[in-house]
Amino acid sequence: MERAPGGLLDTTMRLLMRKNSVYIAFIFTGAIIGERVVDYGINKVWERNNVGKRFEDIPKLGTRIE
Amino acid sequence: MAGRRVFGGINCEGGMLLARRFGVWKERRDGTCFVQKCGLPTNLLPNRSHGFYQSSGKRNTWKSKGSNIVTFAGAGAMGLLGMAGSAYADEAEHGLAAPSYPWANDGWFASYDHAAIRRGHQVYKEVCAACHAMSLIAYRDLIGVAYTELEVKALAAEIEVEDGPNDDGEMFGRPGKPADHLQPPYANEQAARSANGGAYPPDLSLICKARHNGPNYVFALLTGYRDAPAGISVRQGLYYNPYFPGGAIAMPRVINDGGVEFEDGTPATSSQMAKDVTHYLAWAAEPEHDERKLIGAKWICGALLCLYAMGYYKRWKWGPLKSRRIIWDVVN
Repeated sequence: MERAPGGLLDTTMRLLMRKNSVYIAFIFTGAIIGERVVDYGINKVWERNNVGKRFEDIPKLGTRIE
Repeated sequence: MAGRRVFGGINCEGGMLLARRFGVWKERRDGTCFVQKCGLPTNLLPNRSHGFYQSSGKRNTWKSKGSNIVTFAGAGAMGLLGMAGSAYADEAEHGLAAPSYPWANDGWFASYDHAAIRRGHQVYKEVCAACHAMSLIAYRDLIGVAYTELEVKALAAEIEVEDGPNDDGEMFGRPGKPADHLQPPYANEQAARSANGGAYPPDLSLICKARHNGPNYVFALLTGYRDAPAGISVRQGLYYNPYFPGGAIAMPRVINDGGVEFEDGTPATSSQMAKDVTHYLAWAAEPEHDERKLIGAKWICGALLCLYAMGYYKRWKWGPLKSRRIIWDVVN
């Protein structure tokens, strides 16, 4: 996978994996930020794919009260 | 046979011992024998198959992979073909296979059509609830799916529910609350059977999961009533429907044009009503569907990242093991 010293994985190793404390901190913050990003992205895809089918799009919503 | 062994000018004490005893030449990384002072390249050293003994030849050798794959694929294909005959059973036994309709929630990122769920609930309430129970669905399950909370409270208040003993020890009736389940039309199965000529109208809460090819089957059944073909007669009290296993169903055709008036103005053709009520039943059987697809997509993204990391870690740990050399030197 590594091509030459100074490649992408080498840089990653040097920046993140020298010290375990840095590694673990990266994993935790990466998980929090990554979850937000993935949630946002997938929700956007979902909404774009389901135009007009959501609960909020029901015509006459809230009118069925006798 | 102890001591020094010399074969064709090659001399290696320790290496020979190992080779004779275990059939293994141990190598250093540059391919030479591990024994200090030996240092001979191991591919030149005699091995047990050729050097020491007459080998009896190899039996039961595992041949090339290609022919094995073909053999097993052929055996598998034969097995599958043998089983295929029993799957195509009598059409009367399983009912005519329902076609695949293009449902709004078909697809990995497709949600339910919530307007259709709302209309479908109306069709159920006005047409189907006379005979079919849906006792696993509570009114509050409809909040955020088809109705708002105020609408659900108004819907629930239309029914009267028998509630537990009061302070005097008597059961009393009260208007429904959102926590109450949809009310069944009959008190028990026997009452349902006696009111419907011995046939029990099944509870519809899970019907789309309880029937093979659920939503397609339900829609085809509801719209599939037709005259029986020549030569087939169903007894009095049953009706012909090719999608029903056996062909004779106790339910008459109930979905007819204009049977319901939709509040959003959708024309109430029989196929529209059938489609909406089937969509509502599909939601009732799988209410977690929208959330399930969303969560599934998000978790698969995360799992792909983990897959990359785990694959890298595995190959990192296995690298030294996979790149070592072992020489097996075994006589059968």
